[in-house]
Amino acid sequence: MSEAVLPTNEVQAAHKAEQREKLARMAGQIADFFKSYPDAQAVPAIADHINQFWSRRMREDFLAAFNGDSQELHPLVRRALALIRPARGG
Amino acid sequence: MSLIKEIDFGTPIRVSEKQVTLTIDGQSVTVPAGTSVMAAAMSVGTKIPKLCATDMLEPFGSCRLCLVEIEGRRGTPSSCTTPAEEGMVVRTQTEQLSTLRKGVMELYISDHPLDCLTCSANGDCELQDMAGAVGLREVRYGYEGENHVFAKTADGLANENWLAKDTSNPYFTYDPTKCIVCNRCVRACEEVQGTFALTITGRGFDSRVAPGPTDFLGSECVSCGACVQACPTATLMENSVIQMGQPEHSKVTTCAYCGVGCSFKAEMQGDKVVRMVPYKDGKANEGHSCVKGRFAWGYATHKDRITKPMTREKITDPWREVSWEEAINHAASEFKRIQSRYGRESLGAITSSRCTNEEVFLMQKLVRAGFRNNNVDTCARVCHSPTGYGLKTTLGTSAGTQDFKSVAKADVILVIGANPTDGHPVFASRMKKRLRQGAKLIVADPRRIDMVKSPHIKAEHHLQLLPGTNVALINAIAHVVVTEGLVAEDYVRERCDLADFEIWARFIAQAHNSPEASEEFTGVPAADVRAAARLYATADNGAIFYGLGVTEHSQGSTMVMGMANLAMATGNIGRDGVGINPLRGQNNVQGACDMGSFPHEFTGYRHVSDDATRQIFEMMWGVPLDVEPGLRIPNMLDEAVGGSFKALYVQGEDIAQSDPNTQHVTAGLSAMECVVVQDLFLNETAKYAHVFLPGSSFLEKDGTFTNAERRINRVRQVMAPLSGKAEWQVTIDFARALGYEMAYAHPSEIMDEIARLTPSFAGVSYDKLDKLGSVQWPCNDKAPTGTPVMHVDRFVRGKGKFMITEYVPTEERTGARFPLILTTGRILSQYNVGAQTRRTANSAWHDEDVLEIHPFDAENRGIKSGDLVALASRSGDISLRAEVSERMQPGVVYTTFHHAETGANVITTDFSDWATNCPEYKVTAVEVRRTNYYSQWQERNREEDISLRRITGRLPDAAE
Repeated sequence: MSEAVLPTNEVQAAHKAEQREKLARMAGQIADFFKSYPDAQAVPAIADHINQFWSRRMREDFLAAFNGDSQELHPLVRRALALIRPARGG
Repeated sequence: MSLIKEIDFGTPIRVSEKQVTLTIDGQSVTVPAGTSVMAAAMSVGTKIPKLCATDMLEPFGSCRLCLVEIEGRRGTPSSCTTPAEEGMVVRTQTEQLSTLRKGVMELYISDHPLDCLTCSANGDCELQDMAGAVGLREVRYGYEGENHVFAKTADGLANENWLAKDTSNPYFTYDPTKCIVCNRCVRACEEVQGTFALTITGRGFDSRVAPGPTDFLGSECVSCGACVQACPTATLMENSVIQMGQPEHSKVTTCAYCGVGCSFKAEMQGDKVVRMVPYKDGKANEGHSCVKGRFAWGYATHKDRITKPMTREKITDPWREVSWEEAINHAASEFKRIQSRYGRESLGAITSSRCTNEEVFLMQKLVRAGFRNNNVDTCARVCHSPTGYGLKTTLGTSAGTQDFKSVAKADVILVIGANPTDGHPVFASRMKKRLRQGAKLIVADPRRIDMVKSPHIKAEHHLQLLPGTNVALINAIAHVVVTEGLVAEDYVRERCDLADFEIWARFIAQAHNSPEASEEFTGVPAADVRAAARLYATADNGAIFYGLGVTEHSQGSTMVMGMANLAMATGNIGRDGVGINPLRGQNNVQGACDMGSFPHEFTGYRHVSDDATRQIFEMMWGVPLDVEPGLRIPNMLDEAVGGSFKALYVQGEDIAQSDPNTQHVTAGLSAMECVVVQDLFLNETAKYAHVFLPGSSFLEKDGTFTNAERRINRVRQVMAPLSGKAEWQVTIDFARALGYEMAYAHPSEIMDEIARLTPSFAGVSYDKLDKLGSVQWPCNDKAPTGTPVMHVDRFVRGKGKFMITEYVPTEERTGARFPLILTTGRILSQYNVGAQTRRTANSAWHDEDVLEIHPFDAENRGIKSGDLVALASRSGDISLRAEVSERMQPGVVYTTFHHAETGANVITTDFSDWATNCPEYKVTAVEVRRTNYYSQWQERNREEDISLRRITGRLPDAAE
């Protein structure tokens, strides 16, 4: 069945921006929890949480969106980026 | 098959370490001290005649039928009120007793109708049984004298003693002419239910049972059915029995409403349910029930049930009824097409917390082994996923720590963000019973719920916090515990990780966590918080019970950990009477989580990336499994809107009504190419579906449900599936059509596989469940009969882990545009999305969602009760009727989400818990104003109720 409304490029771009913002917010919320711990604990804990609970594509999208430009991320998330595991298998 | 009848001992069996031995009719009997002579006699099979006694109630001693003779005692004491004593010699049958009993019965019958043949209790009448038991043969007084039986006196005048039937309650009838004033109904309402709606008015011959100065429906009666069950005559009788007659066989099964998981006897005539009667040997409810489980089962055979599979090309096309084979093959070929075009991860499924463990297990197996990804989630995502995360992190297991019975040992009960009298009424009755015995109660809730104050119970402290500030409150309570030296130091030293404790204690002792500092956020006076903290911390047994008011927040998981911290710090985990217990929403939401419904976990909460666990599953299922976590429900919808998630199989769940931000949900569903919905009814989600597979109700299948106390209860089939197949059979067919074989002949075989794959279920089998009635997991070699209380000597994770729980306010803020906070919840008579209860007479109590608003906020806006008001948030707007209520605090409004046409979730946002993405239903910034119109969404929804639900060859009214 193929009647599903195919999103236009514009809609897709808007969604992409929205999704980018949403993932940044989710990561920021995780950091807000772990920030009470010393950075040496908090940074890996943030990455571990994302590795454990985010799907392969969410992590890929997140890394693709922020690996180059991570200014809008929570400072701790920025430091956790390197520890976020790219997908295993495929 | 026959009717299951539990033994009635006449009075409760007491628990005592001391045993006494007495002689009854020459036979030696040993019973726990405190047991009545009546119950002692029954324990050796001697039934002493009785009318006012039943073992659900305390003895009363009014009917004078259970008289006995006791050597060395004067007179003939009533056996129900006389405790058995060491060396007592009792005679239950003598000439004297026989004469006395006959005399008593003669008086009863002289004022009772003699229409036994046409009476609704014929076949199930204790009065008739007793007349037979005592050998009553004549009534010397005649029937013409003063009586309650006849509407007119012998000389044709109106009989002032006569009362007409009260048929106001939709489920039962009160016929005062048949009443013997045994008080059983009044006592059941008080002792069992704890509502105190019934009373005896008048004295002597004028004594009448009455629901206060009104009729049953207008009274405080909550229609739990306890009075009907207690009535020994036809005075209080189920309308279904009045219409159909007595049942001829019964089976014990488990209610499919809330997470209490009450056991019921389904009493049947053939495959027709006559009534559902709570089962006394059911451990979750011990013979009690609520209006939903007891009476609201008629949806199962409602005319709206869809019993034939259907398909359609576009959602705007009318549905076309097809064969099972065609529907399943079509869905499977679409799923295959979509997966080959868009990739392995473009498919997913949502398992049902209303279906059985076995059905849930097969659904997640279908996803993991059939779809070959981990895109499976369940409605726990939107309710108790933070419980899973929070309790696993701190204690090591994703479930409550106690059995329900444990509350009978609690001294201080802390209820947080739960409304047990409405959401979990049978458990609320247990809790209220304990409170009447003297336990103290602390309620933390934004609303003044019934637990705060209702007949014979009153909370010591109502911490009426602002929605969204739970963590600030729990930290303030813990701050008092730590800074006032109330920590259970020995317990913490022995049971918990000390380094973590010390870090936590330093954090919690900081001034910003003090009640004085947090008052600014929570609005709760610091002195109240301090007093409540001291009360909980100094209790011998302090128990926490909580609900969705804890979890459905952006800091839901933090709050769960905050409560676990508090319970550990005060030594309140690991024995009877204490603990930290989620009151779970749906009948099998605990089971759905246990069965591996989460995208990151196999059964028994083991992460998919754990190689050893995954290999066991791969070996058993014969396919390689994905090592990466899949998508959670909100992520699925996000990716659908983004265009990468294309097909969804939704079993027994109505995300278009229950999930937050409805317009985002429907945008996601609309963007998918194939949506399969399996349900009893054409629900809201089905409007966006391309394939509809009929579901079956709990009456139509075998399986198990697991309740909030981890109790695995049997569900037993009492009628054939109306559609010809139960869900587990459909899943097998669907998997086969996808090319993955599953072979099970009966749900018991599915449970055997679960047991083989899951250490905490290793000892579970249908044989064991049939033998023991139920078991609480973990059930394995270490605990062959299950585990009522967890973490007894050590925590499941080893040492209890304190977590730092900094309060982080939600991003959802009130402001000039949206100055009020909306919080949502449920009420007693309706259940969840209402698909079931709205199709029963329960709507007599609640036929629309209303907005509760404080008089101050109402007056500011010129709103009166009954006015139509517009409720708007950043997500959307709806209109509904207002009810001005002092249960609310100023600044906070409340509504329910039971009625699809209201669309409460059009208002809620997609903010969610940081750890689990559980939506923040409990905090939405809104504005309320008077209006004359329904909202655009509501108008469109009303049109789509018809346009998206057409069925070829049927009139549109068949839809919801």
